Amino acid sequence: MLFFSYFKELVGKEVTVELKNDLAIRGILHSVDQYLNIKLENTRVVDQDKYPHMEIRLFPWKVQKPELSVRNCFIRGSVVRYVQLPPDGVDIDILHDATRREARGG
Amino acid sequence: MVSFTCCLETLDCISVALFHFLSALFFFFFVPPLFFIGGCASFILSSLYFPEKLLVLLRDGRKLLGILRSFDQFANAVLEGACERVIVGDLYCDIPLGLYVIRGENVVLIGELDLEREELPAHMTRVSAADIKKAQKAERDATDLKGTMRKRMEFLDLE
Repeated sequence: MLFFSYFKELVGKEVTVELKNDLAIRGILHSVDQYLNIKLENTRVVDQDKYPHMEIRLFPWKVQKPELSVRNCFIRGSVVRYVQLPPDGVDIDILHDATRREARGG
Repeated sequence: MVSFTCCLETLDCISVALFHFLSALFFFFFVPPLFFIGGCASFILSSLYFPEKLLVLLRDGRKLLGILRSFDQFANAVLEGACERVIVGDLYCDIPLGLYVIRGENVVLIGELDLEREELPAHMTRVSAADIKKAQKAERDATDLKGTMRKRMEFLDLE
């Protein structure tokens, strides 16, 4: 539950969600739920040259246009590998405290 | 209900107006919450407006397009008029599938399609299902060939 409330505080910030199929999507975090399903707005696929993966050709017209035809998307929590956060989005001290509280079961 | 409406006919305009007002109240305040029964996930999904064209990316890499008709907290979804978009290089094809129920565990992402911007770029050409099958097979053969070549090279390197 800690990370649910943690992600709720990140709503409105720009994050990069890296999926288990190596697709990385950058966008503004719109909402998150208990399963850590994520809804992103103003999405774009990052690093498509570095990952010439099947899914990236899903948006081949991205080369000409910086925008996709998919602007908002819902990502199922179970397929997320990493979420890259904005550097100013983390208050390490508060997170440390919260993690300790959670570990104590309080 | 019939007798109730019959009664209404005998009443004057004011009570008819009151009836309309109350029924409007009913539809505004009692019907919408029914959409939110499914829990938090469906709350997120429900902010994708309902009769809307979606792109569903599945775990095996398939891309389904269709109109969202229903969903639940597991991201199970019902797509009406679904079609699979097969993309091989610059060729693409929409293979019609009909009504699809997708089990949530297979979903990677669900994207809203912008209806004005849904059209593909100029360099993409639409081909028939048979042609896309042929192109797919050619691509698969090419990757297979590459794999076997690489395997042979590794063998040479070991020598």
